[in-house]
Amino acid sequence: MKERLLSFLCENQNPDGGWGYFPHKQSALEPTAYVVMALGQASGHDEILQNAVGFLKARQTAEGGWPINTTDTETAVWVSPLVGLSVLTTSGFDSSCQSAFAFVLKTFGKMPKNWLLHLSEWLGYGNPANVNTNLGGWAWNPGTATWVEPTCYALLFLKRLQGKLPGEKVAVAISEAEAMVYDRTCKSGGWNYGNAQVLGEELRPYPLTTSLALIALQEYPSRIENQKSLAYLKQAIVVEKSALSLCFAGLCLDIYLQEWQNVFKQLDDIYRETQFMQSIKTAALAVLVGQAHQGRNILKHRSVRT
Amino acid sequence: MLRRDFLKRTTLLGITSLTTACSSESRWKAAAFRKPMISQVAILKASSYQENLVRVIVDGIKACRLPVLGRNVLLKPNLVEYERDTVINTHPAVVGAAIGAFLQLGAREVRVGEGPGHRRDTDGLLVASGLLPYFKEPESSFVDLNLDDTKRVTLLSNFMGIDALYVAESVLSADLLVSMPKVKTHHWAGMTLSMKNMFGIVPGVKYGWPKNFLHWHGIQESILDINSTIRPHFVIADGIIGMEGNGPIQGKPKPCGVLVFGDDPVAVDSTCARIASLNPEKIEYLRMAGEFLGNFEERQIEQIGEAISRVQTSFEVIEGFKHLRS
Repeated sequence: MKERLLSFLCENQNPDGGWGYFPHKQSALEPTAYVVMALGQASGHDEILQNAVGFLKARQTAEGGWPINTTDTETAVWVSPLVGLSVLTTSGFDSSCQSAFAFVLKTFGKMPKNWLLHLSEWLGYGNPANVNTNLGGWAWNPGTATWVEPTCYALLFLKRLQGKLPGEKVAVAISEAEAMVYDRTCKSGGWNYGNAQVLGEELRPYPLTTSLALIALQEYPSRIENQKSLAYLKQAIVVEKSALSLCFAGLCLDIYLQEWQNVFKQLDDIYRETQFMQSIKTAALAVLVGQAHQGRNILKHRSVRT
Repeated sequence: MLRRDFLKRTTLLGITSLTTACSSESRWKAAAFRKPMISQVAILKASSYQENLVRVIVDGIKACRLPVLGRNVLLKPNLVEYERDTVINTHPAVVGAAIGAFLQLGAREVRVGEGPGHRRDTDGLLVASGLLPYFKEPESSFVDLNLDDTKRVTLLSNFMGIDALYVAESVLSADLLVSMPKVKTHHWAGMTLSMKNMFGIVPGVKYGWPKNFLHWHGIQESILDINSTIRPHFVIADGIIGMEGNGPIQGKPKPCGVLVFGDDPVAVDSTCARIASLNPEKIEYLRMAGEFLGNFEERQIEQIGEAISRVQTSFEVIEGFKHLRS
């Protein structure tokens, strides 16, 4: 499967060096970032990889981040750390990464409160999702609420850079963002997009966001939240039908040294049946899963704390 | 507690007054919108998802005299989450039947597009919800609007306080955009119908999961700006089994036994609210939409098929929306 997926990716590179979410679609930064990570760990694709990295660097905005695609005129908070991570893993720590680092750090912040939320808290109603609004994290869009997925991407990027850059500010941001992600853990373990409850009703977690959060919090495998979430994930993926979710679950279980042979088989079955519905992002992630299976998990950090 | 209640009430009163004061034509250019004198809405009975729904939908489209021949159709169902034994999504049988109906009536191409608001694993959602088997070639029959190519579109009204939104390209290139909501109560907006369903055309890749950007600018305001700019050409509302109570996710199934059709989303949504025994005049975005986007008063709607009184049923609502009953 891995070789076929690599061929699929190579055949569908756009002339500008990037990839769309699907073949013949406009180049977008997220799928391109994953393909770059996948090709960076595979051999024999130097020219394609060089063009792809060129595409990424050419799209970096003056602010240091990246837009979501070639028609977007704004710098996206959420995709920038992900692209930064892919540049870092292929080109090393260069000026592009340094700018990305500054952008990511600049976009860290607490959930902004409009007057209605201030009023609600003042009246003692709190907020409808019962989240701790004093913990900082990252939003999808500037000036809006913080959520699990963008915060996890930023954590992955910043943690990879820790040690390369000095600064108490980074450590504080990481620590607070970790607390923010833990604050959003669902009651039964696991994460959804970032609301464990709304209006007093418990919401359920999703395998994809649970995997991502566990990957971002991989330094704490013994914490109760990690343990409960891991238990949820292992149970949930038995019947999981999403190749995308299975890819993240595979990368996560590999990091936590869990048995994940079945995930590999489930992915293979879905690929035979649907060819991942031609999704470039899923194909790239499946290659990363194959590489993890061979001991090269690109999302695995080196140091682990308990 | 008394102080809190007093403050809550006065605050709500203040907000209502403020909203009313701001509801002038300064929010939209009157010349850009032309409401029809009368809107037609067809209510057709369908007692279960096992019925011949293709026939019912063909009848509904014909009753509204919608031109279909040779057109490129994009069906936009409501596909949010999947949870066993719940009625969160537009039923796949209705979507499948709509594909069949539009092809039968001579559409050049029929595709289904949705950008789920909570989850990124649309591939799994398609399987779990039961929608996938209705596509002959999933990769060409279905468009994930969250990941589609995007285009910046200037808004034709100004409720959100922004100039433009990015929208999925497939929505803009369709000749016929059909909003296919589930008839549901909604814990923030009162009801979610064809107009709220249009949140799914706004790409998650730009605005995130959930599409908090829209919530941040006001749900009602976002509904109005999106629909003033990208107005669905036709609506097929799935009210065979609706959702009551704490919708749009955690509510309870509410058998209603109807499919509702029309080319005026405001008229269709108002009719659905009346079927659910809720007053559309009390649903803020519907009342406002009735001023410039479409018709929401009963006297401006020509009812085809079943009369509302024959299919009307009482939907439960959460405490904060009890006033919709008046």
